[in-house]
Amino acid sequence: MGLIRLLAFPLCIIVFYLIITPLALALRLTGRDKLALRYRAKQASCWVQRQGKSERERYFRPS
Amino acid sequence: MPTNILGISAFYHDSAACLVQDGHITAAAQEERFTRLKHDPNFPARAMEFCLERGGISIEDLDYVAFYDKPRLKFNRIWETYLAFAPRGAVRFANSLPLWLTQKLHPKRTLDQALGGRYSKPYVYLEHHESHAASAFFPSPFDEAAVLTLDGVGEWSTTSLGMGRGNRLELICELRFPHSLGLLYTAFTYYCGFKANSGEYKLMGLAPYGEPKYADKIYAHLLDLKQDGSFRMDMDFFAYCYEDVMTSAKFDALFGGPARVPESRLSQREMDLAASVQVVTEEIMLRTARHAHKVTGSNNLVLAGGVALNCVGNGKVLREGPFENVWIQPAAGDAGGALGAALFVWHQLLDNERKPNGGDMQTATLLGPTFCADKTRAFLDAEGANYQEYDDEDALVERIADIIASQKVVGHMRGAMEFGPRALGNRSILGDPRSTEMQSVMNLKIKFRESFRPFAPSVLRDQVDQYFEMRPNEDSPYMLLVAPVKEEHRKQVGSDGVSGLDKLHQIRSTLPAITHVDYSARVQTVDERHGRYHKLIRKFHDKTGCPALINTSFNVRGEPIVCTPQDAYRCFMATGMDALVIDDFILLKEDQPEAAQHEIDEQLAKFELD
Repeated sequence: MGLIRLLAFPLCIIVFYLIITPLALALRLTGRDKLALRYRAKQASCWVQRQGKSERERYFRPS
Repeated sequence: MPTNILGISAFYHDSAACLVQDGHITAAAQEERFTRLKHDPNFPARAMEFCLERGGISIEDLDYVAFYDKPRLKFNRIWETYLAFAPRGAVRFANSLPLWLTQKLHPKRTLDQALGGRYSKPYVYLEHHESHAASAFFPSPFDEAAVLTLDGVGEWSTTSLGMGRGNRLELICELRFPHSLGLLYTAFTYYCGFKANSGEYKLMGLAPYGEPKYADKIYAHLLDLKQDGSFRMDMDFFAYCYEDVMTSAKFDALFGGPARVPESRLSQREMDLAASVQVVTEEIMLRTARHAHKVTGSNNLVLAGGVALNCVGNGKVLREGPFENVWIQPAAGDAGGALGAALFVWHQLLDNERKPNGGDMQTATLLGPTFCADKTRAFLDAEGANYQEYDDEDALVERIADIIASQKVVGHMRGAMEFGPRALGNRSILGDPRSTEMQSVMNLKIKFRESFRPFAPSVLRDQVDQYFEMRPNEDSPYMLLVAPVKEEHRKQVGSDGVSGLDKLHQIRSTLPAITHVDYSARVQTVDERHGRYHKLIRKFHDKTGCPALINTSFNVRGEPIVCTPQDAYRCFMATGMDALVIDDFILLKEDQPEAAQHEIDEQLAKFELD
């Protein structure tokens, strides 16, 4: 367990630069903007409607 | 056997537990009060233990355990944030991923373990803002109300707008991470040298010393604010998406230098920055409230989420906003999510009726532990403390009022502990608000905290309109509204050349100790619901003609508010407090054996500066 904990940090760093970063850059090239980071929003409002979130089963799931 | 629902908030900050039995809030408490670790984020084992004991049940008797957020949805947001910012964020990723993979993504396993494997019924998971919204609406006094929750971030939501009607609550729309009023305020808190997620109160207290010189800059560069209160932030100025600091180098450049070093001297710049972000926050709160009114058509508003602890903003919303009535959940921060989650299960999932009868159902938020006289007496005897025990409440109240009127500072602990971040009389340090010295005495000799921080008054509700710009009998039992001191009680001060912290020494009203430099006060109204505390202020009024007391939380800087008689006694002995009241016992400092200096130092060193 101690060894795993020790290796976790460098392993995560490797995964981050070798897998996540290229994936992230590729996704951004396709115009993906899940965090709405493009600043000046053209629309008059930034409110996002919540839809389809009221079914009961949803509350028994952690997602 | 009633239906027993346990609400839990945990694993971020301010863990708490709450027990709801057949729709009645039996008990609620924050874990920090038991473990003495401020904002303790761990599973609230001891708070839960207290709740179950108060309810007379064990873990096996629980019918539902409701958790205050949805961990996997939160992870989805964190994952998308890495994708949006990589290659920035590697260190945070490597530091946090193992904990997510081994613990946080498996809430059922983690909760099962925390409950000792003794719970086999369903877990319920609410979205973070649903928990806040439920904590705002279900205990409120209203049949129907617009619901606003504003905080740093939950899963994705940072602000939510909804409607509560009867026993139903529905969230209609939201603002999403990273665009967050709470995080904007926290960014300025951090930049001004205070602790993120804890020093926001200080920034609000500092704001009246400054001028909002930077507000235009905030609107021009940091924020694209719409008429309806919604906004986007320019994330080039902020680092919180990928680092453990709030602001970026671009932010430093915009405001002309790096963040203030914590504990260094406060300059006019920090005061002006505080004033600026406060003005912007109030404007956003007002616009959002107007939008909520338009969308819902209700005359009532309920609020929760960390931003709802911005009582200056709340006061503005009440006085200048479109709503006739406003109710704010006293545990507006994350602790209150435990209460919201439990009530949500009872009303919304189990479809049980809700019948507001004029008042709220939070019972003055006195939902925490009480202590019996026998145990307190045994403890005081073991400590060698000298005390007087009263069996006549009137005589006791008279004595406390006399002590306060003679300009002494009293630590006052009685009955059930408050749920939420404010002390409301049961775990409070009390003083005479007419005194010109009291603010600095209390800040420097008793609380050991920054001299600029204001104190709040507890005032008899039937007198509130005599001293403050409030309606007759207006309710503010949870100290979450700031109101101006009335003109006739103000004293004019010369403004020539006095700026910044020098304003502190000017006498501004007939109640100088609780009048902030902008002639405002954070008012707690007190009435019969507050029991003996109400009697005490009434007695003080009879004796002095003053219907108010200074009320500040019973702790020193960095310490969670006291919970037990032991905590109260230790705090009393380590500070310059003159007297201590624990239920029916009174202790005078002059009668006590002197504490050795090293004991005092050890006691004070236990708490990290906040």
